[in-house]
Amino acid sequence: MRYFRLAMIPLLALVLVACQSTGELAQERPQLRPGTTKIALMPIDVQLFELTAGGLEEPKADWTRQAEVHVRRAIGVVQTEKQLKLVDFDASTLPLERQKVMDQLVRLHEVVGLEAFLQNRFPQLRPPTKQGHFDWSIGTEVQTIAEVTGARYGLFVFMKDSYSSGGRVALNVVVALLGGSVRGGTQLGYASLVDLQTGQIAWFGTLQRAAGDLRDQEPAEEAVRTMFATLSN
Amino acid sequence: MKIRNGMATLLLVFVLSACATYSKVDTGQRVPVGEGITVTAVGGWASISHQLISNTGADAIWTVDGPSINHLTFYSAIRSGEPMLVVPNSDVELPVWRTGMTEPDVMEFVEGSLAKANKLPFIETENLRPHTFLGQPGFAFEFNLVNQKQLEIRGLVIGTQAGGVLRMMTYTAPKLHFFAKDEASARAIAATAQLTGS
Amino acid sequence: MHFTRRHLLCGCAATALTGCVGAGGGKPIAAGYAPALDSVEGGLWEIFNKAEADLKFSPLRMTDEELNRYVTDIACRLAGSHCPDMRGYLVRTPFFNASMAPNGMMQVWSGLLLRCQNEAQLAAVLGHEIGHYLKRHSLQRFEQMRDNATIAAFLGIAVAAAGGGALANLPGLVALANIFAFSREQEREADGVGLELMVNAGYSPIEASEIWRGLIQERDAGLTADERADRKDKSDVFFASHPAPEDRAQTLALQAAAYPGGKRIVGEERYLAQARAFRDMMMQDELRLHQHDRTLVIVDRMKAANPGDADPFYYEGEVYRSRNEGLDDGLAMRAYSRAIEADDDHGLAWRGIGILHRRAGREADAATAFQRYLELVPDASDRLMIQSYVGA
Ligand SMILES: [Zn+2]
Repeated sequence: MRYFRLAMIPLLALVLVACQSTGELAQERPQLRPGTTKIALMPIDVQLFELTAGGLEEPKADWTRQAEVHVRRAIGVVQTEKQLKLVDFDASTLPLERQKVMDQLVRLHEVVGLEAFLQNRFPQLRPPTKQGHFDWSIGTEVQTIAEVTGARYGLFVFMKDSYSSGGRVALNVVVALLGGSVRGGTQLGYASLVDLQTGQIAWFGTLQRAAGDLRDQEPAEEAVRTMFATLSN
Repeated sequence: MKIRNGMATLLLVFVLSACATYSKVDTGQRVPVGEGITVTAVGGWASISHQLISNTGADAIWTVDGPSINHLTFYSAIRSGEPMLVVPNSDVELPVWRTGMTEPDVMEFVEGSLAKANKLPFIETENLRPHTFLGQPGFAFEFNLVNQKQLEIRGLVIGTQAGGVLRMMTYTAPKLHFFAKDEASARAIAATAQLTGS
Repeated sequence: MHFTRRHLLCGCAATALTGCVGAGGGKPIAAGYAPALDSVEGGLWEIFNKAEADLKFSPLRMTDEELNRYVTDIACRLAGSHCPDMRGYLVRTPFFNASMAPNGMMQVWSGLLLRCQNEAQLAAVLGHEIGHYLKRHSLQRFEQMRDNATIAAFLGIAVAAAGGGALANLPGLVALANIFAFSREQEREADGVGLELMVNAGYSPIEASEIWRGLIQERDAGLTADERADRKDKSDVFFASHPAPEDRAQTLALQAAAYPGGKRIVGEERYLAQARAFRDMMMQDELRLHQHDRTLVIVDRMKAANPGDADPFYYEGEVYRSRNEGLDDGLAMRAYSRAIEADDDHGLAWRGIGILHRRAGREADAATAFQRYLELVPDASDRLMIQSYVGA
């Protein structure tokens, strides 16, 4: 069931909205000094699936591995272009209890990121309390990341990609009923630059569209670039 | 908690139809939250549309950051033999409240209702204490649970049982950051709760 | 480990023929095996590697070293040369379930630990799960699913659009495990492998059948004969994905009888000694489910295994107090009293007695019992409320 439920979100998003990428900035904008402001790169979460006949999402390990390499490399390109100073965050030196908190932070970010993504895409889902400036935080437990890495910001990246293997008759029927069409796969992603002192998401970039391919370096680079388009220093 | 399952469909319907999903509740505004109870909002909250919560068992659900993050939920009139929550399309038998229950019984009733309706792997209650609610002697306690995404969630329950009716307010949010953020506001709202006509 | 070795040889031969690439659901797996990344199997493993990374720091994981070592040792005695390929995780979830992912991640839920009566029964379940791994049942299942994908996906989307079916309610862990709900054929095969592993490790094979009898008892508890006859237990995590326990109990008993007799390990005492430290936590989780009749079956078993123990009577009292129907208050009072007879310092039993008196309006009796409770459990989490009852 979980496959289908996960699949529904980008699918619905795709059916209903055509825009490709958006960005949100907190009132307190990120202060990135070219080449000097340290950013801790959290473990990137990339998942690639093949949509088999009917829309069952089949996990593809080789694609996922490729995509991870491509996305990492693409982040490297963005890093150079935007003159960011990225360091990897490695939690394994922390005591187990702290590692558990770091794990909870990643889970919290996933939930917060998805909620922010949905509110960003569907104005109807944005409560009146969230109408003003982009205002999301994941709390001050992130200070641990700063202590371990010496970084000013943390970068959380989530990307999910699925590709059609053709013959998805049933799926297309459903989608047609909802008034849309899906030819290729879908691409969904969000990235957050988190202030490691306050936990505030200083910049939030999203990506969601029918085109794109993380299996090849060039389109992967283009996708990551698109997702990061609104991040500037 | 409860709202997530049935809500996906309804959210979809609302996205498609562009109906109002929320109404704003301004600070200082006194609003009804179910049968015979009004509260005054403290801090900024949004009330989730009644159509969206109609099959949850709650009379009003408010949120600050969004329905997948935090809620303030009101149960204004649970009567003897009735459950706290509703699980649509399910044969799950939920615990029922009965007149004559002691406060420890009620705490276990809430704990069991949440655990059973949501098939929670883990929930634990703590710090049951006397607490005045709606101007009547009542109770308060906290709970910690782990949801299906294995995220730790914390909750506060404040209620009172009198005149053959159980009335409660629950506040739930992720344990990290979010619970503490709006806890004071939730407690302040509980303190403003009044029975209409009193 | 004769069984495994023989099949391993076949497995190696089969893999060699196909050049060690590609699928092979149902074909035995070799010790130390890891699939090629570009295979369907590699994809499956990758997904469960992620799930495993998720589980590692989960708040639900029971990390007690001694208990983990105990369960791992049993699993290793069963799995032999495959032991390093598998990783066991104890998960605090009050349902009867264990699962095996294709990558060797094995979950054992606390609800299962509560229900096993001896080490041989735990070994039976572990052996069964190891059987799924050795036979690569997940891969086999996935290959079948792909063939039916059009239908499955159509139904799946319909279910998702309707707000989720029965599975959507289950914890994510189960949803992921049950995506590949095994076929009856596979379950039977895993039972066979499990029994073989059990016997090779010296356990009494009849215990595999006993655990199913226990589950049948629980499932049918409190039902009339008619209700039993048409009982279709859709809500239960375990029964939803497994063949009828009657068939399994019977088949396993027949198969067990075919093994030569002799002195075999049951391991009741050492199992109960290990589980003891977690028993109260597991019972409190069980009580929260309000499945009163089923819980009473567990309580009865506990009484039989621990004569003179006050706890089972206290749990019995809790069940009746929570059910709170008809004569239940009287039944609860009787059970609490027997707990007190066995152990006058059973604080929680005194709490139960206090609550029953208070419900009935016997304030003075309630106060006496509550005072005793507060003396015996000074850091009680409901202390302030109880104090307000006593007027202290
Ligand atoms: Zn099985």
